[in-house]
Amino acid sequence: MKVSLLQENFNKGLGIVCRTVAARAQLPILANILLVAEPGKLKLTSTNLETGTSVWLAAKTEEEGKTTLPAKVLTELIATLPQETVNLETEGDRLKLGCGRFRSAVNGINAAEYPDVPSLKGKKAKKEISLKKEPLKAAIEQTAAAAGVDDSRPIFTGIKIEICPTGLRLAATDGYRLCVKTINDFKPSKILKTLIVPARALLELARSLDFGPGEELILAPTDEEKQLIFSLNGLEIVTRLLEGEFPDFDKIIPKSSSTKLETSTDELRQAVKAAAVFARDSANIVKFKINSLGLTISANTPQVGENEIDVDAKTTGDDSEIAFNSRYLLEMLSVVKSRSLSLECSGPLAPGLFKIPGDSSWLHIIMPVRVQG
Amino acid sequence: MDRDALWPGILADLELNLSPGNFATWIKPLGFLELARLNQQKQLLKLGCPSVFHKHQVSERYLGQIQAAAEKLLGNKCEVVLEIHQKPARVVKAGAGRDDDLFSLDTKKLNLEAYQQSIIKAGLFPGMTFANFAVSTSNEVAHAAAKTAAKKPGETYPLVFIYGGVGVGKTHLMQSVGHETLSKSPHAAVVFCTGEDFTNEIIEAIKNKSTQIFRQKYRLARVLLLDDVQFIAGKEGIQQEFFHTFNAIQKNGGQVVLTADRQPSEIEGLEPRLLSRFEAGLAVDIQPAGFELRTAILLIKAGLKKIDLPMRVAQVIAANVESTRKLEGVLMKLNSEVTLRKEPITEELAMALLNKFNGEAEAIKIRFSPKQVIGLVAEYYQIKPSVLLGERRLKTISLARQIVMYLLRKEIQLPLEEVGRILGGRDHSTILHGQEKIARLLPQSEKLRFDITAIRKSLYVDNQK
Repeated sequence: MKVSLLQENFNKGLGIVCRTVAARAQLPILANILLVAEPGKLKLTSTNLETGTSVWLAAKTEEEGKTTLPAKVLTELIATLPQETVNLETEGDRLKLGCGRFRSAVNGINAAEYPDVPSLKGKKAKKEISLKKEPLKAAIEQTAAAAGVDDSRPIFTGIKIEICPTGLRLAATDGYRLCVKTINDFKPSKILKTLIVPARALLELARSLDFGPGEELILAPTDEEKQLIFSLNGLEIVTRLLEGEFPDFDKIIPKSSSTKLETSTDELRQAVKAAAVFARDSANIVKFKINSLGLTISANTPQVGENEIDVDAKTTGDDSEIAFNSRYLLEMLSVVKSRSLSLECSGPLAPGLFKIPGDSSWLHIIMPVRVQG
Repeated sequence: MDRDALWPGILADLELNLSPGNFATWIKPLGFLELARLNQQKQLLKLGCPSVFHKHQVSERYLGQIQAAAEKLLGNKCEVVLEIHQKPARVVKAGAGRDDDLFSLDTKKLNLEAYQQSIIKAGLFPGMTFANFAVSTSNEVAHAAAKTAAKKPGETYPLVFIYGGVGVGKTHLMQSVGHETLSKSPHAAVVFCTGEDFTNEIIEAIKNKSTQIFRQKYRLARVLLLDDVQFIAGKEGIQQEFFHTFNAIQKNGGQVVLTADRQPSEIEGLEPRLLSRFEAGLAVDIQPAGFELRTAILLIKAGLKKIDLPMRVAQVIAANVESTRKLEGVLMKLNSEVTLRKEPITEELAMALLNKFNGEAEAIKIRFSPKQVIGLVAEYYQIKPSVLLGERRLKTISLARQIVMYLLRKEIQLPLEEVGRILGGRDHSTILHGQEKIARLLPQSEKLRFDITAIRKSLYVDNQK
């Protein structure tokens, strides 16, 4: 293969595909990136056997062909090159690389051994759903934080995506918190489907959405292969779908509450951060005391010390006390962009329900921590 | 070849022939799904692989090797098929060491606890639910209105005004609205009070300078249930406060249910602006319970108290007792009687009890003269009083005569001999027969019940004049 392209494009493309390179691959070739020279394009592909990413970069192809190169070496190398044209040429399994006054040769592995990463290119998927990028990106970022990372309960590492005629609903839970987000700004789809997509793959997607031009992206799920392809201009992400029963989360969303409060998100975030300092050594427990005067957040660790922060809040209902894990709170607060936030709870044992006032599309439930005394 | 040993055997074979990297990456994640016999010579081996990447790679590169290994072990031809199938993860039982997570939380129990707490807070009586409310023609409209109000508080009928006499079930129906709302959302602000409570609370609030708390309680209610609203009539300040409370609730989309002993326009001393508000709502009346409804109520009450009440006995009681409140009294008495004597409930027992019960109740009542009774019955059946006392035994006349016997025994508790004397010197056994005949007919004949009720009514009205 013989191909040339701009260093800037090459670097950007590598930045995206290098994220789905297998971290601890037992097979050396999985630590590599596949380069395929196609007419007018250079395709970069990587996969960790759960998710695969392909990007197509504008290039001048003189001779078609393909090879694989170690992701780490290639990424680091290209990042150091000047912003000029990069010329690539293969010599067997070795790639000669020239850019301005830089000349390198990288040892690769024959591309024939690289696993096949499914693609929509050249195929017409039967069932496609097109979506706007921006709302999806926001929704993924807001929900993914609640998804689990514990592989002993694989279903919790996924985000459930429900596609219905009125919109899209994303839900993630790790058993101790639940986040549900609805996207209504959605081109009606005739396909009704429920997909459980690994949260990691969706986060990669959210990070890569700025890559190409265009406002929309396409979702193409296939049942027989249990996979889902996200496709946008010049970028495709393929991921396997998770099998299994996602817990029925609708039934755990509290329908009513005995105590409600509304407060500024910034103030709450600051207060929880401050309380977290003293919660760190006592299982991250921060206590909320809610009464008609407002909200008081406190934490203490006998060996370290304690603090108490009063937060201005509009409260209604009964006085209440409830304790949360500060990590859950902070992870949620870091993705909430609204100015104010409301909390609804019913006593110290029932889950706390966080909502954005005036925005019914998002909710977050956190299981309280049982505190003695 | 043991099918359980097949896959481990194939794995062992491939491990020797493949590089460790390839084996670990591609072959190890595969899982045995099933082995089926296609025909005499051929078997089908189904393998599951975790992703489409594995499926492509294995079918392109390693299928032949897997097939060869399998055939060697099985001793005949074997077809290998790949399917995408994630290995079931180690099953983590809900509740096993994780009883503190969201999905193992017993929401039903939490809701039930919250519901029980909130009915106490709202001032509702525990048993007064729709489930325990018997419906018949006399109250079905009111029941339907209350059901709708409970289903969609504040939407279809923001104000339901229930009126009717004593003991017809107004309060029960109203409380059912509260129960229904709370069972759906245990933390809804439901407030139940009587017109008198409302009055007293305002006075108390003014005295303690705590009107703010009072207002918060009432004006923020999602469902306000005010019993016997006629009590606030004629009290200017209270009516004004109620007017504002009412407006505040309606503005917030809340539900108001009121009860009174008569319809809004007949309540004296009600401010015009309140009257117009009440008349804008849905006014429904409840008529006194008929025989069938009383029987049903009796059976429900017996069911709640776990009393085994035979249908016949229920009918006898319902036919002889008109007030629904009194029904409960009779039932209680019957139950204590039965538990004391350790006997089953029988008609005779019920009859005996009813006579006693009516007797006790009547003792404090106004007494009628036997002449009045005879006059009224005669008037009702349009026969001369003298005929009633005479000897003619025409069917209509003897029935009317027996009704007189029944009423004289029931309402005035005259001794049998005395009744016989009054009725033209009849024998006491005739009187007993007549009285029992009517009591027996009562559960069966609607006409007879209607007649006797009408005669009784005029008897009491006459007496009040």
